[in-house]
Amino acid sequence: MKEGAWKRAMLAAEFLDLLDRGGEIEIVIRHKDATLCSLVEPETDQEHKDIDLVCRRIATRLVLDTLGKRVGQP
Amino acid sequence: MTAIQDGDIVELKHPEGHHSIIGINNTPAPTRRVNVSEILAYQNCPSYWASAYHYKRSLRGTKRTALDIGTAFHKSWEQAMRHYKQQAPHKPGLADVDQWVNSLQLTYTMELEQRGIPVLTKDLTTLKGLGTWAAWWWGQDANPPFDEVVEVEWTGERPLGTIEGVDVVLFGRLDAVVRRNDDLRPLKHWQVKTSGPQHLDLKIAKVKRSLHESAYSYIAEGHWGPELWGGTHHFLVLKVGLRKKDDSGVLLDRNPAETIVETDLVISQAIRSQRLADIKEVVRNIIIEERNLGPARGSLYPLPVEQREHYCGGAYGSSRCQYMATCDGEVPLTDVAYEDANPLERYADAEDDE
Repeated sequence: MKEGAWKRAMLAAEFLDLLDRGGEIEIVIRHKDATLCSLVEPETDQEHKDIDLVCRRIATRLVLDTLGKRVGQP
Repeated sequence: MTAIQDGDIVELKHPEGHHSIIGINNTPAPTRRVNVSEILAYQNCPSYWASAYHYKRSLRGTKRTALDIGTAFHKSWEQAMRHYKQQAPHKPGLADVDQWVNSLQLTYTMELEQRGIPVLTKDLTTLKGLGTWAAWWWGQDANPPFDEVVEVEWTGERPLGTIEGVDVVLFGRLDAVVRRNDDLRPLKHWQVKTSGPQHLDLKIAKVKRSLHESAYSYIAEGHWGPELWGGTHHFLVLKVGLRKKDDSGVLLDRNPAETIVETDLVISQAIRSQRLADIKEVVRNIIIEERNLGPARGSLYPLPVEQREHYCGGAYGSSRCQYMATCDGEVPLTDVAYEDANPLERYADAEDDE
């Protein structure tokens, strides 16, 4: 396994751990059709949940992309 | 809040600001295929699961003879079922029985030779006994417990739902699927070392409550539909002495029919719902455990996972777990005595691409 993939997976795992412990992650979006970068600042509970979900999906994907090959994913 | 749209590139920034990762929003959820045996392994002992499934390490050449007999018997049985499937609706005759017993011994011998383990005469005798008795039943019974063998060594899968943001697919292999009257049943065979009917009852009761049974029926129903599914037909071959004493203490050949026990097992929806909930909980733990363990690296011992002592004696309480030394931190998992092994290798369609 390449060292870069390992590092990214470990970072992603750290993010997931942070979320599990109730921590908040700051996220910045770069719209696909523009160069605009903007900090996403949730205001409501629902927005916090949405952000949490987005973070979890991205981080989980990164972890499993690295791990999947070792755990039965074809 | 600025809305996050599908396809947006999203950068996750650590609150302490020292690193970040970038991903795309709304990429499909990752998929994790989970094998029924893997779930059972984790349920038995997370530490065992980590060694056998996560790190995929196995102690070189440690298969025990008893296990080899089971494997050989299993293979031979499947061979017989395949033969029966080809011949259906032909009823097996003595030639089939001879062929079966021969193939049973041949398969066993080849299995052991491949592993460099000496073939013991007493094991061949045991096999002959098992094979002959089972074949006796096979050859004599005018009414096999099914009308047709539909599938042999069938691997099926069914989505289990999204767990921890991961789309989980449950998969597993059934020994055989048979049709009887209007319904389909998986046929499972076991060797049971038993000294009395109470042990058999216990064995069947345990199977009924196991995650194993619920998982397989869930997969099978997903493929064939619940209306066709009639429960599992269990076929137990008892490992008992070739001869037994009669009331006056005289040793006589045992009636072969005594060694075969058949039972249909239908689990209630209530039990299955409970077991499926248990399965999902185990899968959730596996996914979390994988995140904590990180990518597979043999040098990460001692394991940061739970060790369940009741499993140190193996599945039947009669053998020492091959990972005990590594579990105790005495031997690294990278030791040369271990080799890379994929426990899923018997599922040809689920093998690693590494």
